[in-house]
Amino acid sequence: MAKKKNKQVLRPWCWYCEREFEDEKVLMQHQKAKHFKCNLCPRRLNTAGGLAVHIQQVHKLEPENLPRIENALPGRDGYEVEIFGMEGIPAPDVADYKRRKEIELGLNPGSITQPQSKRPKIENRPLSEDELKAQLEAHKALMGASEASAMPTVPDAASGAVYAAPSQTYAAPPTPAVPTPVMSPPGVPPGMPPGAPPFMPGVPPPGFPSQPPFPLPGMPLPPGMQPPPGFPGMPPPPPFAGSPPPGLLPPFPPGVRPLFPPPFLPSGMPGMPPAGFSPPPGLLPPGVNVHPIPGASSISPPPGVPGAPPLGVPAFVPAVAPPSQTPPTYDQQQQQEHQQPPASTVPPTPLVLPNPSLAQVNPTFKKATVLKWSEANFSPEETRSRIPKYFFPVSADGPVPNVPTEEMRGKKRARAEDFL
Amino acid sequence: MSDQIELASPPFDSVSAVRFSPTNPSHLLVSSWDTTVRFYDVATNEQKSKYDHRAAVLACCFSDGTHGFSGGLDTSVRELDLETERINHLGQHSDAVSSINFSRDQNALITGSWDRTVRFWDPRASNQQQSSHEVPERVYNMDLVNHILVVAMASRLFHIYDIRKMDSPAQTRESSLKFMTRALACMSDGQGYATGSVEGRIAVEYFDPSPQAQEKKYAFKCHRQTIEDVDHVWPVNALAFHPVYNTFASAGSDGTVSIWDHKSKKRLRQYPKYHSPVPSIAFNSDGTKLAVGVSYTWEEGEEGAKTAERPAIFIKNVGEEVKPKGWTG
Repeated sequence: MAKKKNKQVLRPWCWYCEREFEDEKVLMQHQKAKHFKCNLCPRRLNTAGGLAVHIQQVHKLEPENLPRIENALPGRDGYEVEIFGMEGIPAPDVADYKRRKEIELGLNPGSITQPQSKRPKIENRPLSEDELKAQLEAHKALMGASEASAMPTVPDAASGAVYAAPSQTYAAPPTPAVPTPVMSPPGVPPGMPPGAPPFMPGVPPPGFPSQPPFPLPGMPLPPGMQPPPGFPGMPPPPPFAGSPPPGLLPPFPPGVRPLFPPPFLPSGMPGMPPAGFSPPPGLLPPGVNVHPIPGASSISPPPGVPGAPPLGVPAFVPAVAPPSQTPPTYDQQQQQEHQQPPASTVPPTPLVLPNPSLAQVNPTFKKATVLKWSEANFSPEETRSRIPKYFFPVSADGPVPNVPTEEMRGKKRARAEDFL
Repeated sequence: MSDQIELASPPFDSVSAVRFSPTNPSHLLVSSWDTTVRFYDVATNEQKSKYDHRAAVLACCFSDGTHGFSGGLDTSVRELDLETERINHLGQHSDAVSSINFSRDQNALITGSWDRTVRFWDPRASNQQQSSHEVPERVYNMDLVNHILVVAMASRLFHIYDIRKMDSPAQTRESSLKFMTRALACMSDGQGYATGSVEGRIAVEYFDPSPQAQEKKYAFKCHRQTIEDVDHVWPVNALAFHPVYNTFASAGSDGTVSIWDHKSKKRLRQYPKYHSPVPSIAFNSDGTKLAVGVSYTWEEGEEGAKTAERPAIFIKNVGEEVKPKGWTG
């Protein structure tokens, strides 16, 4: 203590408002409460970047519309600088603050030590591959490897300020409780859920253009992109040769997935479980049928019904394969594999007209007209329900288990946390 | 006094339905695509509770002042206890639940689903599902006045039931509008209903099948705009009758809300445009407030969702504009 007084160690201070604090813990509490508080909901985030991602993804604000950091000094209310306690403060600002403090205290220049300068500065330099790996591992551990399901492709690759910020926070952005709407990246077969872009050798994963330059080979995938078991290292899928991925083997007939809504795929189920995998009891309450065909509900007409254009919906059919307990033929498997690259969510079943004889055709207009909803047979809600983000596989028989919502919430919370 | 307030904690994704309590004029339920149902006190602008679901919620309603119900893409029908904040799972449809109504006379919860059934539930009985009635098409909207239930379906079909006698519809009709049915509301006086289509048009219809009554039915254009000689036509997303004056409000994807007097066939008021489409509206029990959900309604698919403004819920104080001209009470 005495030593500290002698050497006039700077107390932790907040870059945003230049207030001093007893210790960094209090400082971080202050920052959470004063600067990193979302003004749209009660959430408090740990960093400006976290807040920015939260506001963009949860509240759907465009990057340019982000509110400024609250209670900050002029010029320090942006998201460009990633501050966490005393870490991340730009060196010129530290020097400037130090100088002003010295003047204020009437000390000689240089007599104040900078505790934070001794720390390794990791903020503003590109991370090495090893560091990235380590951080991803840590992040994975934190997230409980639960991000199997649709990790949204980073929305708005050009999210200016946010993604220009020091990158390590975003190596695997926390999936928000409400994932942002995502389009299948270009080139992805329609209907394929996002979050599992087809990794072609040499082609960087779409949707991550502004990400730190991941080396592709042997790169540790972020949790959301964890390959299904049996795909170590995610080799570029050979063009459908060889054995199908384990998840497609019996006893899971084609198109069959456990009945979980894609956006909330519980943790511990990255991709499809391999054959013989029995989910932990908490995930599959008794009475769940693991085998039935999603979408093969009463509304499914016999395959090949005409006049059922899957509008605005991925145009593939196989997930409504007839319920059959017999192992699929090799052809089916191939087909299956073709249409369902190893993905971690249940592909939405296309919309089908339950009664094609009632199919509607919109009358034509006499005058030039822009009809904002021109689909005559499916409502906007129906179309929307087939987007992977919203799709909920409907079981043909037996009630969907009444999973306690708390459980779901727990998972969602965990993944939305602003981990550092 | 500002004529409207914005709720402080709106849902994070599109609003699917806003519904006021039948007893408390400031209690509001809001269901959303963010998989929640939120319970608000609009007088204090406070979110009192939130109910998480497994998938997007498409419909909600009150039964009495302390219980709500919800249904959505996860196909299950849930009872929400607004005091204890508990969720009670009542049962299941085999496809998404698209609409929910509660009959206070019969103490029956009525749900309509894309699985082409209308089901009745008694939340208090041990066997909660009371009956299931098949209809020819996916149910899009339902509304109830007294004991008359109107079911609007895909393929522009309508069934009108007497809920005391559900074995067969009292009337089956085809929509007088040529485009997909998008909205439905029954008149407060029980004489008929109004329905809206995706092609900016509203029809006013009467239950009485006699030719004299049927002669009165009509339809009119709305929620459209001519820009450079091209008609832009938005869907009519929601209709709501005023509980006292029996005028009605319509809401469209053009972001406007209008008040109509269907007797004099006049528009009484068009409110200033909102920043996004209006998917749902509701009058409160005493007719002093209009809840307006404002959010993207998927006309432009996922692309539109990327640029959509964040959802909002406005509570509008309504005044003289909802009274028909020459109202004597």
